[in-house]
Amino acid sequence: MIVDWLIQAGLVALYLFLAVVIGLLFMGIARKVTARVQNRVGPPVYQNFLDVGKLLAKKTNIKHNWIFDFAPLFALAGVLLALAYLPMGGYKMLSGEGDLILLLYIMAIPALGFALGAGASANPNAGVGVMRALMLMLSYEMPFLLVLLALMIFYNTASLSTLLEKQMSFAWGIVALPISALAADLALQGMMMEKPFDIPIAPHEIASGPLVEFGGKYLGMLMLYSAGSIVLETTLFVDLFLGGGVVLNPAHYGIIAYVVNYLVWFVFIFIVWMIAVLINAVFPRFRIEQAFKFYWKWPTVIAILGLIQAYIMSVFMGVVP
Amino acid sequence: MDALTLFGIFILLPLVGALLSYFGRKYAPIIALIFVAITGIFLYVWYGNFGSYTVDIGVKLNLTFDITTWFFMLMINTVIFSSLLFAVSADLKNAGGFSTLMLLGFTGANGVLLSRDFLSLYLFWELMSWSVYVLILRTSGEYARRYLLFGVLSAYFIIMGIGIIYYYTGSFLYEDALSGVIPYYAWAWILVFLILGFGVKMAIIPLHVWAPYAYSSEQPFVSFLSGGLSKLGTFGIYMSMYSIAGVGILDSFGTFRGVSLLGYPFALLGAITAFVGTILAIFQDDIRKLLAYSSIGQLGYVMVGLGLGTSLALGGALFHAFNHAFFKSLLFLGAGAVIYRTGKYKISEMGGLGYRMPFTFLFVLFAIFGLAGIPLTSGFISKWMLYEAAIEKKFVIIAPLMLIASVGAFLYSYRILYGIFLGGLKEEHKKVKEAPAPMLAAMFILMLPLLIFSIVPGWILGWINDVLTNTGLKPIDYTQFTYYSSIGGANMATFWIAFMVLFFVAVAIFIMKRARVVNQYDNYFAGEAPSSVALHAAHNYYKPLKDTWAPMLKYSVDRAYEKFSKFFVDGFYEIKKIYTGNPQDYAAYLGIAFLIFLIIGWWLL
Amino acid sequence: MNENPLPSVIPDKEWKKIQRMLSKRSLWMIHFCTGCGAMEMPPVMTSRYDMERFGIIPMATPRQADLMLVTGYVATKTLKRIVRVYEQMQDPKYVIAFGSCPINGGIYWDSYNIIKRLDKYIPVDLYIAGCMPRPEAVMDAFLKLMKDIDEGKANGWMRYRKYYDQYKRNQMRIFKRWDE
Repeated sequence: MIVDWLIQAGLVALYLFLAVVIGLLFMGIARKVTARVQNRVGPPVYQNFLDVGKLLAKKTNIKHNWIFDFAPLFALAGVLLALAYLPMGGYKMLSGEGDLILLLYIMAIPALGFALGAGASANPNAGVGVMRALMLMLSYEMPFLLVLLALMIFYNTASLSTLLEKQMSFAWGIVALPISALAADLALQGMMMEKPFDIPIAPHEIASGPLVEFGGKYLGMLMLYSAGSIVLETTLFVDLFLGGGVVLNPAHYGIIAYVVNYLVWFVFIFIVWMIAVLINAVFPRFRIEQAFKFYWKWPTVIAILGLIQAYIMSVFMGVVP
Repeated sequence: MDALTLFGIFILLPLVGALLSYFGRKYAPIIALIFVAITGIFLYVWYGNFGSYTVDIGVKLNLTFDITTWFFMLMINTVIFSSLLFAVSADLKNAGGFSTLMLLGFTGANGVLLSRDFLSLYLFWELMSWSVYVLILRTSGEYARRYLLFGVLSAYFIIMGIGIIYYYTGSFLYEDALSGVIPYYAWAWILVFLILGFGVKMAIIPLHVWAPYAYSSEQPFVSFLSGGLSKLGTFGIYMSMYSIAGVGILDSFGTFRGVSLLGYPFALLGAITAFVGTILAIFQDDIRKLLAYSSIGQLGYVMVGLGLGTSLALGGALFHAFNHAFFKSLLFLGAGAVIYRTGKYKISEMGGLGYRMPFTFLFVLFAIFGLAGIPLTSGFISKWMLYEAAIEKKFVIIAPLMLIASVGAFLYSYRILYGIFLGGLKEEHKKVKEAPAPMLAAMFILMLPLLIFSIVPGWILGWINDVLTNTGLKPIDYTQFTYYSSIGGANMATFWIAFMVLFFVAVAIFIMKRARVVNQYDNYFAGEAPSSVALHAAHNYYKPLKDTWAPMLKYSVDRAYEKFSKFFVDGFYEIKKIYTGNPQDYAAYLGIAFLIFLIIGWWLL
Repeated sequence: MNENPLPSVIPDKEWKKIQRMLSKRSLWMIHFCTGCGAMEMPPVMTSRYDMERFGIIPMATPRQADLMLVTGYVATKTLKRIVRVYEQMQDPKYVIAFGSCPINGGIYWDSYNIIKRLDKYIPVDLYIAGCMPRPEAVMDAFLKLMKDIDEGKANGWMRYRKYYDQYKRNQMRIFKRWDE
């Protein structure tokens, strides 16, 4: 009993560690890809490991007050917690212990902690940046919540692990609900704050917004947080629409299934991340009210169409996955 | 225990306290506090000691002390206790009158919760309502008038509902209403009147107009009004829908996926209230108004649960009412502490107070976690139950409205946090001290349940389950640490363990290097450093959002009412003009009236 | 503001090789565009020379930056901002003075309101001579700085801590007041 529990905890720890490593690697790949799109050489793909190492090894660090510490602590702990509730590569992690709505609210913990720490400096740029981030959140959550609702009423479950099983036995979300998948991908761009929605951290307007006063280990830990959140958000999309990358049933194939599924999952999140990065590489930036109007217009309409499709299929046609 | 003991402890004792504390001068809140504490002790002792007592004084009256009453009394008792504790050091003017009125309101609330007959319900409702009116009057006559208008409206609605029941049954007892003599179309009227009547107390749109004004009164009172007394509306609707009428009657109006067609519109109204209240709260700069609109929004969630009426939804509604009682009282008390120390109401005029008042900040932060539904507090669990209740029934309008409203809650929560407690500390607030100890104690008491019931939700879900089964509804699905719907579930023990472990991981990385504290003016302003100007970006914080919402914000229920009243005032002004004071005109009116009557009479005959 | 907030003596054992390696490979730069030198930065950043190859990227605030570029002449008014930005950077931090003007005043050698030697006010790790230095020179300077960091020679920030009082005295001779 206790041994099982420890093995479980160790596996979760391993997956979380790998997730952060993958996140840092993805950030490096994104820089490389962006550089190639812009006809540059770009840094090596492991550049972000060096950056984090350097930031954590800085000789001096400053803080404004004790609330400033909330940012790295809550951001890193929160993002790891959210990752722990997310099935990765067919491994359920803790997702049997809490469902999608819990995950949705856990995802608010790092954001709120980050916002608290950012606000704790008297720098108005930070306040403006957080305001933009919250407004952007209100914007992209509208289509994203509609998409989640479509999935939940179609698959008739709020639990991510059950959702994965149902996708495995019935059809992947992207096949069953393609319209919702499109809306979710549009929302994902804002969720990951990639261009054209990098409004909250716009370095040229508000000196990188909430990050303006963070340096040294604070920035290093926030970088780990953003690495984790890249994996979090891409995996969320993959789990919702691409069956979490589960191609082999672990019940039949055992450990091989976990390895294969992990690789497939990795490829899938890489593809989702690359879509975001390639859009990011060529777009300028929206103003915040433009982003708000955009999200409450087109992606919301698409998401509502997806919701109608899910509703019709589930309620009127009686499709039961 | 008999009827007299029950009546004596929960009604007479607070009344005696009200009388005594009037002469208590400065110590009035302490005297009131003692009486509330005594009631609280009896509430604790008598848990499980439930019973129903009928008193016959010509008409039959019924006092019942059951788990539903106990559950609501628990929150009202705790909330008034901390409000009075807060008032001890709040330097209120005429503290004696304040305590008396608070205890009168408390008596009324206890009476409403105990009574199981319409007559005493109405009497105690009015007692509560009028003491609230006088309490608001202490701040502003204008605010009190607005409250009075809607309070009277609420009373009329309730009396109409009661009247219809009495017309059919000839009895004021709740249980007699179900004897089958009331036809179902009459039930529709009864329920609509009762729900609207109690809904005024819960500030359901479009009956919310009084709330932003009433909630701008003295904070200890407002914390009791918003946290405690508004739950009487919840209690009233819960009782009238599920105890007086019952599920059988509700379902006789037809059902839509297992939800009564009478309940569904109110659930929809609740979802719209949650959305509109939240959106309006985002744009408020006055902390009291912001919290008032937030209160409207949060009670909208409760209304959704009451309207949907499945066990999960009702459990969520009761739980959310419970949470709201605590976190909203805590927020009002926190705002009260800040207002007490700075004397300012506008969020944009404060800033940086979290460094001077760290405990107040932490308590308010915790309340905001509850408000926003962060899983670290029990505020999440109630919201979760409401969402899942809507989603498992596939309600695609209610669920997104609730979900997006809770995202909006992050926006105004952060406005409170950033505007008041974070950002630059102003020179004039450099000397601000932490709130006095009684205030902190009051806030601490309110914080505890939010934390405890987040770690062990099984305890409160047990009470809620008892309430539901006592009303004759299906039980909810829960264990000590987990709770389930038909589509999902969550385990709080796992959550807390995982959170603690990962938080220590973050701390371990964090403490490897030490950080130096710098001055708040040592900020990056492109090399510029205005060393004595606190730049605080809190003024008109969500301006871009306000600009995008401007076309929608020009419609206002508040102004609609004002136009409506203006129409009548103008109309009466026109009517007044016919009184010209000229006898010849009056003679002419007489002649015209005579002619009209003649013609009508002719036509009738 | 005139008291050294940091210990002036740095224990040598903390200064490890691995940290030098990391600092060298991940120089985040804030460029203080005082004069015409800023015009040479875009080619360095963009696809022609691409300094991101070496992990050097422009940053928006000094809190995040390791490397400050003072690109051009330094007026007495600007100096206070430069010092402020420099002090807001976190150790270890490096300064590159760009062009002739910060070295000896350049064409402003006889101007009444131009600082002639930046090194008197903040420690400069590396100079790029020229008016203006071409992007090749800037890239070469970056490489030279990386080499210096690796060898432990780029230690201006240690100098600033050690001789904090002298630097401050020089600065205050120019400023009169610090806090305006």
